[in-house]
Amino acid sequence: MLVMTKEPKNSAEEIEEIKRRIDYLVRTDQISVSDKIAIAKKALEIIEKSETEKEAVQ
Amino acid sequence: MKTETKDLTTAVDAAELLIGALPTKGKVAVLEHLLKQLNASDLSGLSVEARRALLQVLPEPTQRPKWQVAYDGEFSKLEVRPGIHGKREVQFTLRGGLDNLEAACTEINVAMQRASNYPKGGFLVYPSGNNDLPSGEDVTVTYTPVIRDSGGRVRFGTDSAQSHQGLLSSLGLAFVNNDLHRLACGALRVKEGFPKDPTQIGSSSDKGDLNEGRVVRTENGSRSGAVRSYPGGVCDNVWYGDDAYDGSVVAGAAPRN
Repeated sequence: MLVMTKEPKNSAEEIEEIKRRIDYLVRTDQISVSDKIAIAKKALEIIEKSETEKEAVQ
Repeated sequence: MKTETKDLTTAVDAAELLIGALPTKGKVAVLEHLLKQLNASDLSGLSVEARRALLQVLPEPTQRPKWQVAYDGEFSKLEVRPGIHGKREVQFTLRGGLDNLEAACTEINVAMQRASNYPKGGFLVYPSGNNDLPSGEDVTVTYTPVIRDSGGRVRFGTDSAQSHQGLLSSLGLAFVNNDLHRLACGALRVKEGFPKDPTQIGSSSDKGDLNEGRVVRTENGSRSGAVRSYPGGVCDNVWYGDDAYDGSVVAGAAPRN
């Protein structure tokens, strides 16, 4: 019998959590502008890297 | 003396330095651009590793700050915590409800006398005659004082049930010359809203706003971090005479009513 490998059980939840955190990053005033820039840059780098890898595989 | 220099070996280094050197306006513009990009990103196709990496990088929303006990008596308890825009949220608990109303008032009055900004004329909390309070069970009320600007626009605490009036009637309490917020400030020895900039202080030529938390000039000219209260505890947007502190209590000055 073929057993499907389970996607990490909470991939949808992870996406939701990421969105929630991005929303927090946008709205909060508890993080300085400089820190926000650094975090946003890092996050965009991760997303871009993932997209590039995906395109390379295709 | 050896001077350390940073090699501009990569465009990233250059960009970092440029962003660092930008004035605040420029930084905000960069940030807005980055956040727009981030918001527009398609996250559905992200790899597991990328998702995990993002969760490492993005900050977890912080929990609301915990309540700090301003005073904890036998019959009542008062707690405060930072609310929105730096204003304080106040939570008052009347233990045992109506049964302990009078005892709680006595207790609060004693507690207030220990406050660093207790006015010479004193002030009192007394039962207002509201008999709707439940007996035998705790009554807890949380509120953010309603703040209005000089144009009468509500700035904080837009829910009228959170106003002084709502708070006091729901607690069965009435306050003479003060409010719970000020009690909290006094008990914590916090002078909230005390500006370093003297131009923010009301004077005879500039009365300032009839706001809570507005710092006004006292009768002897000293500055005071006052939390304004209104006759009957109700902010009714009426200008009370020529003095900025008419109809209110100013810390450090003897109350008029």
